[in-house]
Amino acid sequence: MTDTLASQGEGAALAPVPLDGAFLTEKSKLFWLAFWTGLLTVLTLGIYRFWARTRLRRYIWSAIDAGGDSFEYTGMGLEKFLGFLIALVVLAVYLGLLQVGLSFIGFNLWGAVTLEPSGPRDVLIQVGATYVTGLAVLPLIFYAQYRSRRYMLSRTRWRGLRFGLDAAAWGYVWRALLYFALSLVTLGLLIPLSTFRLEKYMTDRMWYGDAVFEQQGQWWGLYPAMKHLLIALGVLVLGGAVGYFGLARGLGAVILIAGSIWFLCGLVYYQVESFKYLSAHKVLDGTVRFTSNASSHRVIGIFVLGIILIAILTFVLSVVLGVLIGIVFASGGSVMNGDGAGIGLFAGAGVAVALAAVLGYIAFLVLIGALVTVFISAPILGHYIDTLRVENAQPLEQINQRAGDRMADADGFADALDIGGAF
Amino acid sequence: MGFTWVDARYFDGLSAQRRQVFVSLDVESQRLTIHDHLGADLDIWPLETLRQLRDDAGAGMVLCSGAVDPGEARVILANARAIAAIKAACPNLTKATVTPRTWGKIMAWVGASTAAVALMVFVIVPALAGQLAVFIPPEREARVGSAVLRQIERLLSDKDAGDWRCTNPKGQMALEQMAQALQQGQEFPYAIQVGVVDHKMINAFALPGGHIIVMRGLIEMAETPEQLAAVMAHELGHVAQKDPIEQALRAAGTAGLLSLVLGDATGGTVLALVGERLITAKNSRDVEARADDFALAQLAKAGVSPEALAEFFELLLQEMGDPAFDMGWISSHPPSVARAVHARAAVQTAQNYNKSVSSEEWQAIQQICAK
Repeated sequence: MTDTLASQGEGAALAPVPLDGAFLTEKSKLFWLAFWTGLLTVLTLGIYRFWARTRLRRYIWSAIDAGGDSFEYTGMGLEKFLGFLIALVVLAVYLGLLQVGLSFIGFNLWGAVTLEPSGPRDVLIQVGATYVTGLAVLPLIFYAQYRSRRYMLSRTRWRGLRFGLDAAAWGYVWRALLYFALSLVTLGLLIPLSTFRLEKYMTDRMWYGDAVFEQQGQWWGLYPAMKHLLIALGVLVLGGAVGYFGLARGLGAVILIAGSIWFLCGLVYYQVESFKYLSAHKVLDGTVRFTSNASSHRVIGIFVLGIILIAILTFVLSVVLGVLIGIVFASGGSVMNGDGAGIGLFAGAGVAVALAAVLGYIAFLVLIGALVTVFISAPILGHYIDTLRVENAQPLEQINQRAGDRMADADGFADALDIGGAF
Repeated sequence: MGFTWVDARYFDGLSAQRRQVFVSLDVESQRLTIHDHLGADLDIWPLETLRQLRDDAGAGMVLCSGAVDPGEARVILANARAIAAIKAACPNLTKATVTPRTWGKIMAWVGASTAAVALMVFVIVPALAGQLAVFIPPEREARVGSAVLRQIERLLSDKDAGDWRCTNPKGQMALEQMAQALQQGQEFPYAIQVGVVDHKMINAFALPGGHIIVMRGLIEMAETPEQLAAVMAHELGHVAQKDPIEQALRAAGTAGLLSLVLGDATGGTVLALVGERLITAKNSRDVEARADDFALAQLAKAGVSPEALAEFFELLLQEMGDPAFDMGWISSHPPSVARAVHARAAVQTAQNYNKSVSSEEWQAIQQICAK
């Protein structure tokens, strides 16, 4: 390992050098960062969340190592806050008008339906009236997704060079809407088309320094990744049929439950396998290639283990907290039994106990959030990074810096609309 | 305590090449010198400009000159003693510099976003809701009302469905008669439908499409039929002003705004609910006051003393205390005391007032939930 480092250092080695990803965190450090910033966020009524997310990203990025050099996140809390304010002005006006207008239309449509829906048309209108608001926000969500990816990349550096994404959010919006509709109409059969084309749209506009990425491959190459989803659907249909036609209600229910679990695992499988396919067909600067050996078993394993661990930890903690509160109450009761002066004291203690209970509850929620970060989100990200490899890293040395991307609104839209994953 | 010729990694911020360099810290001249592998000076950084990458997961130290983002070149130190020396010698390692211009920008956008949200919540959405409410055809509105009614039915009935409504025919007839008398001189686009719900809550409300729902608890609390009539007149006021459908539209417009502001912070949903209540409270207090005025006018037309409304509020005060007393600006209704005083002011001493319904009819209303 040190040999490769030294030879890369002066750009002397000529043989193709693979470069492995590694995710290096200390669980306790990450936990205290997540817990403390989460607590500050609650105590500041959410205002600190911009700085919280920035600090968490800074930590996570610096834990990502490729070939001995770590990533760097250069975003700033203040710019995120400003971006949020800008997005808020736009969203307040847009969403306010939209909601009033749509519920007006909705009431008119809804009113057109007879009291008890008498046919499929009535049901359709009713459902449509309910979901039309969500659909109207969808373009904004896609817009925010693209913008937040662009912000994130422009604030990411490796070996001192910035990443970047072209300013092309609206092109992404209409494509995403189109593929979303196609996936919906075909009952999910065209999800690979949607996944691939949207990833290609982003990848082809993504830069590392002055070198551009390219997404190669074919959209139907993602169908093998759908394998377990399709099997799970088959199981679900079978379970439904057994329960409906057959006499074995119980057996049908068991099959349905099994099918649902299979379906969830199938979703993870699709995520992992499509990531592997898409990574294998990404090219940077025409020559640098990538391989991912991520395993869906590991991801599911991390998830299940994480949930069990968090459940045990929170259970133990709530028992401890319960005992503590019980002790406080008991001591309060003994004060009550004293003379008259004790009553005033008890009232004070009551307020303190109530306050402590509220604070304890909030701290508890923040704690669970931090545990999810430490035992689920971060390890899953870590697994993806640990199994990622840059096949021939040599040409990377020829890449030069790119100009910064200012983006006054940062990822404010994504923040206001609550999208954007774990980190 | 300085150091000389310590191994470090260097990225010049221009290319992706990694260089092995040596750095020397000179505390006397307040600078960090970066030498390339041959010993020539690559760069000289004044100590006051040095910044460190914070929240770093690595064991080393990432340094740059100037603020973290625009500063292009990076030095990465692994040597623990060198790191300690730099920490001791550099005053501004974790200092974030915010220019006055940035502060100005932040202030401007804080103002703009506050103004935009306030304008939407207090002016545009209410105005729009009022305008649009007129355009919803009455029969559509009535159907929306029926749908809401069914929702309420589901919410309230802890017994079998259908049991929740009080339908004693004599009581119902008397109630309708009472409502009829209060509609004098008013044209409603739909038939007013009054109903009683078998629930102990002391409340009454109007739904879109002319539905007025009175809860059993309120009838039990009323001491005279006139007090019940006063409440019904108030609810008729809501119907006349199309308040229910307007408020539904308005609520839709302001619903998401607060959760936008607060984000997905833990407990943010609860805060959003509280905040929303604050926002809508002011609007709805005006609406309530107008419905009170309508009620006073209709009571007078029906020959019922407006004092009944005052009595009702005083009763409410006795019975439940005034939740609005301490926090008038939070409550969706004006304080009961003020409403009682306002109602009493409408009483004309010279006039003779009648009973709202006969005592037999009042008895029938009181028994409307009897099975």
